[in-house]
Amino acid sequence: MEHNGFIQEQKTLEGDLNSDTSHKNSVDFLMNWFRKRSIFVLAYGTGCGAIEMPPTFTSRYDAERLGIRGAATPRQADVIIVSGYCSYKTLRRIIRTYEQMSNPKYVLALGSCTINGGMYWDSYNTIKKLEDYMPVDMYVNGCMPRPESILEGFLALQKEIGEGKASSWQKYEENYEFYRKNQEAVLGEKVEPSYDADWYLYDVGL
Amino acid sequence: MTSGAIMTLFFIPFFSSGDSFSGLSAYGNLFLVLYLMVLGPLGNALGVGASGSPFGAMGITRGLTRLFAMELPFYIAVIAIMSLSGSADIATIALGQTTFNAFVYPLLFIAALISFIGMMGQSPFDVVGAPVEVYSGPASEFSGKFLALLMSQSAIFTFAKLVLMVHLFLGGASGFLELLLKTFVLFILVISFGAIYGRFKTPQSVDFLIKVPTTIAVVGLLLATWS
Repeated sequence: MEHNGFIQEQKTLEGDLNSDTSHKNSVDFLMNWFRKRSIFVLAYGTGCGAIEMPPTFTSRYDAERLGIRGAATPRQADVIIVSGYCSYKTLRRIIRTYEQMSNPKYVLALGSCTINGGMYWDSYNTIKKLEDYMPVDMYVNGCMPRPESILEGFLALQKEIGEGKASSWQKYEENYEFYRKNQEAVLGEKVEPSYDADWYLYDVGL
Repeated sequence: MTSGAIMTLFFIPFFSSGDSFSGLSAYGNLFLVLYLMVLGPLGNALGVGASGSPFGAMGITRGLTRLFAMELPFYIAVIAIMSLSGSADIATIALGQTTFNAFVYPLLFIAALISFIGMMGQSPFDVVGAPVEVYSGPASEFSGKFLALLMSQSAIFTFAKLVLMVHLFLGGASGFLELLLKTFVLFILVISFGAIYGRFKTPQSVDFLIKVPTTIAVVGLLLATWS
């Protein structure tokens, strides 16, 4: 990337974002354009990669110039970032949160841990491949990925959304039995976390 | 709730003179606008009440509690301006100012500005959608087109309130450029206040609004009627 200032950087980043021509009709094109240009990201950090997200969304890297901003609740969010290793306990919450989000929803997975377990490969209470338990739209590798890489991951995701290719939520609905079987294999029959009033006393789950 | 915001905007003239962009303001006055401004929060409350989310209910309860305290100084200031100008027509109030009302009646302006900061949802009165505390409050259970409606409602309402303040205290506007400039100055002022201060608790903000700006507004009213 040449150092020609902010405008040049913006041009380089958005270079091939507007070049997609694979849309079926103008309504599709418009819908996808709106979707890719207003991505609400769930404020939820799992694992050590969450530390790279604040600089991505605040003034230094300023993801909002690309239409990417935070959302407070799963109902408002389009994208959930799984930012690193998932222990079984976290996985329950991630699945619960993912299922609360409304369609269309996308998953961005950060770090080697979500790809093959990374340095937690031999651990007794973390999962290795996130894709066995929930669908993933875009991986950003690295340990940990810097904010620049996260931005590039977002741009790649935006490009896929613009082309209408990112459809992992459909994959989750179609292959639900597969995902549920894998989830039950590590989490037991009751995948959802228990949310009783006094869950902090009697949470017997992992 | 969006219709409430759009209705409010209909009855506020954009420019103080001329017929263009005056909407339905010839058929309504300041009383109607003040009445319609409550419709937004009320429609919001009905919509959120149906969602059953505890954070939504919490947010809307905070909002309606704050509304009681916020309206008191604002109404005193606005009604004082109305009676001092001798008209309830917004354009007439705007045209009647040789010097801005903000400089002639500074205390009334300060009182109205403090509750205006609250109406804009800025710190220290941002108890409704308090980030982290109640997530996004009333909006916490909304998604897709409903969230879009809610967000555009607040954007439209923000503009309507800014134009109303410009007309009442800053002498109105005769063209788009002047309107943009004055609303922008007001907007930046409010945003800067929001950036400086932390957040009050709900009872604290009610206490503050009932004590400080209300006192300022009453003193301003007395001083204005005295002279």
